[in-house]
Amino acid sequence: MTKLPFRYGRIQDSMLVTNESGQFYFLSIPLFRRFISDPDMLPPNIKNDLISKFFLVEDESMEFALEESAIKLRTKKAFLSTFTELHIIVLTYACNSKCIYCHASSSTDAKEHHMLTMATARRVCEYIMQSPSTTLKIEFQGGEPTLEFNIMMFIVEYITTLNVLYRKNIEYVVCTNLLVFSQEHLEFYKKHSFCISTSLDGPRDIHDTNRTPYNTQSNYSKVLENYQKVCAEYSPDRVSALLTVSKYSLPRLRECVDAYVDHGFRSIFIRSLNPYGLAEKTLGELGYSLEDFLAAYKDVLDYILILNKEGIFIREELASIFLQKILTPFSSGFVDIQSPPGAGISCVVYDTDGGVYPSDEARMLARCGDDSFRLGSVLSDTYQDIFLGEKLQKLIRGNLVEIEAHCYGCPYIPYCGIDPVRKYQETKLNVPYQSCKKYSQIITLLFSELKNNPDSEKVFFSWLTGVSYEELCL
Amino acid sequence: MKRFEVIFPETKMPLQAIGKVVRKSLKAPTARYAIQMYGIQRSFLLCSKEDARRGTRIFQYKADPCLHEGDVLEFTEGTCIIHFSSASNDNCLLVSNECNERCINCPQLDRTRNPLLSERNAQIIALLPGDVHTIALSGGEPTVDFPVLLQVIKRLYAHHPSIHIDILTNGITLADYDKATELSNILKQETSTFCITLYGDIHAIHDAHTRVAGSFAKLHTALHHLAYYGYTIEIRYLITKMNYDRLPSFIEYVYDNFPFVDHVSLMGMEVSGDAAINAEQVFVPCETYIPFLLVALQKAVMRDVPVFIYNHPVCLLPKQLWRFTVASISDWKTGYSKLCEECDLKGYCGGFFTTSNPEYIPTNISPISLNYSDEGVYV
Repeated sequence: MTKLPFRYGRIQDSMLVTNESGQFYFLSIPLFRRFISDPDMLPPNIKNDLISKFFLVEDESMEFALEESAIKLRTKKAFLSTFTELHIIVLTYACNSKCIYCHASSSTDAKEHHMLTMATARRVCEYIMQSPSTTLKIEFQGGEPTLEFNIMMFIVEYITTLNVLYRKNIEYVVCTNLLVFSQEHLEFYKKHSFCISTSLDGPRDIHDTNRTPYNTQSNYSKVLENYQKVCAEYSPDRVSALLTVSKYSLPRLRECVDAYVDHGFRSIFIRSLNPYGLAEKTLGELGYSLEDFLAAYKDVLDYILILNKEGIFIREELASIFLQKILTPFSSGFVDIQSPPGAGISCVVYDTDGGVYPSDEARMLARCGDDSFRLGSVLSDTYQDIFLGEKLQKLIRGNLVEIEAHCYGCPYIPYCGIDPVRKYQETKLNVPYQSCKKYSQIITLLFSELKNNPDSEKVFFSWLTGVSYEELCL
Repeated sequence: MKRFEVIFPETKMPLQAIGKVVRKSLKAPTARYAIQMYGIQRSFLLCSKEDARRGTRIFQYKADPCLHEGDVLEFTEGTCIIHFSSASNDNCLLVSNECNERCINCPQLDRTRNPLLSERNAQIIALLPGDVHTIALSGGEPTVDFPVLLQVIKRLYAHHPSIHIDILTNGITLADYDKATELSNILKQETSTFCITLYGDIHAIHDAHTRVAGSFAKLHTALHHLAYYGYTIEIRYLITKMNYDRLPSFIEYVYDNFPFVDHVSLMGMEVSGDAAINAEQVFVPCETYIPFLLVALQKAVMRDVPVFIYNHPVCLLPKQLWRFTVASISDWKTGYSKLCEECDLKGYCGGFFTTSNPEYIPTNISPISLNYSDEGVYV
């Protein structure tokens, strides 16, 4: 009997073991000791479980076990076989909302050349189509991208024309605050099967505090009205919302969830404030510590689980990203938490000036004068220079959880990832591994639920399959 | 394949007489069947003993086999075999008697090579009705004589280009990439299903059933080949005394390792052939494994893995499991007891294997009467 490579960590009074392809098993401490010292002496059912999950292998089937493990690892890392799928285009820096935590530091003043021109847009489209991936997701961002609706329409039209030749599957996403919204927009979204990603910060007072409109009117009603319109006339599955947690909402996250449920949302993405970039100025005023966020997150996750068990389907997206990797043989498709990192190879951002960045945060950084992560420009560099260049390769090579010294031995390696830009900022600000702390505590939380609470496991699976909790109970 | 007794006319019959029912008149028990044989328009008559007239082209049966137009029959010494029944859910061509595994629970005893099978299959295929939807290729192990398998498939397509083909295999042969490739060039992906038997989630348990070392590993390779070529795959798990406690982890295993599988079938055992001889080792009564079945089904439902429970009388299973059962035992092997007449679910139930050794046929059958609250359970 031989042990295959594994990592381990304590979850309450048990030991969690995980392997490279993300399978896991809980062992009591005495059984874990026996697993280490003399696996042959484990009780037969436990030994069989460990063989079945590729932690142990009988010598005569070693070749088989390695082959099978390799296939599983390949499945987990299947996102690597496609190359850049997500292409984010920044249409403008202008915005009609003045959110207190805005890291994009948008403005209504569009005169500073901070908008995409037709000529640059054409180049961007041509670069996007060069991606070898057969499936593309094109995301429009800002500022508020709907302020430049003509450019958006132009891009979709041009991509459609180019695609006669390339024959790719193309999906569109628009990240909009839903303030500028007309029947014409809706028809356009429907025609091209857009996904609409919006923001809702909870109940009215929190939302209006966080997301102040330029005119004095409350924008809460308008967002909801337009959201309902999309649901009714298009599809509720095509709109999702982000909840950015500010100091105001931190103690009131349960209320925020209630607001989502009341308005018919089936998912909520609880996102902590991005502490870097331009928001640093206002951080003291709005910010909170990671510890505070994690405590609040734990509390609200409990609440969300209770709601689900009572028959209200509402999925928490951050947890789902990790659960997808923990509970299924696949990865999650969320480019910010994967290894190798999504930067450039899964996701890329085109700025209004044609600049190419591995992530949105890299673009922000460049706006603050640090262009360490600028990969090039569609106006002056070739596709090969940008995507096969030494800069991107170095970026990827230097940010693998599998070889990062800090990550050595961590049982969460199969579920985690390093965001290179975050790591750079954290190191620069002398707060290293903040993301590590955040992710590992959330993963620990999820494993504790999985270990202690079979009903929570059902809720988790219901999030992954989209089937209601009730239907998942035998 | 169902057999029934036939009294032949006085003239001697040739060795292989395969024919097709072309007309049915009257109803049982006094039905008469006109049968066309020898590839030319020579009709024979099959009718009940009481009704019989004597003649060189008249066969007699003791009990009406309830044939239908289009059924394909073979007359041999003293019996008639129904090779294809238009009314059946389970029409199957025996491609080869031989097998490359020696499963401890095999219901079949005769695994010797039969060189006549190929010619017989050719005749059967030529006689299949034009609207035949599905045919299963079985054995033995249908892939053992690989060229013969390919030939059977080609013949089927030549007569019935849109026929659905199910292949019941242990997968060993298809671990050979070249053979899998060769098969994929002939067998149409969109109309074919592979039904592959897996006895456990670890090699020691699987190989103990098949009694062939390394069969577990080969089966994995075969599954990956078939998935690569885009076939629909059903995994069959035969529940035995040696593997019933692995049911829950088996579901996890299939999900983790074969996410491409279309569905999983959990099968009750037919205790005949080798299975009857080895019953001591392999037979486990249903009530013993129900707790494991419940956990397994909960795991499957959570993971959205479609699971069906085959070969189990509904009345032996707890209510939560009824919706997973399928009336699946080949119609000619299905039995119901007298009590079953009173059961509300008889039309849905698979009954039990009449072909099983009598001592392993369940005795605790009890009719179910549905009340209003049950109606939502069984859909």
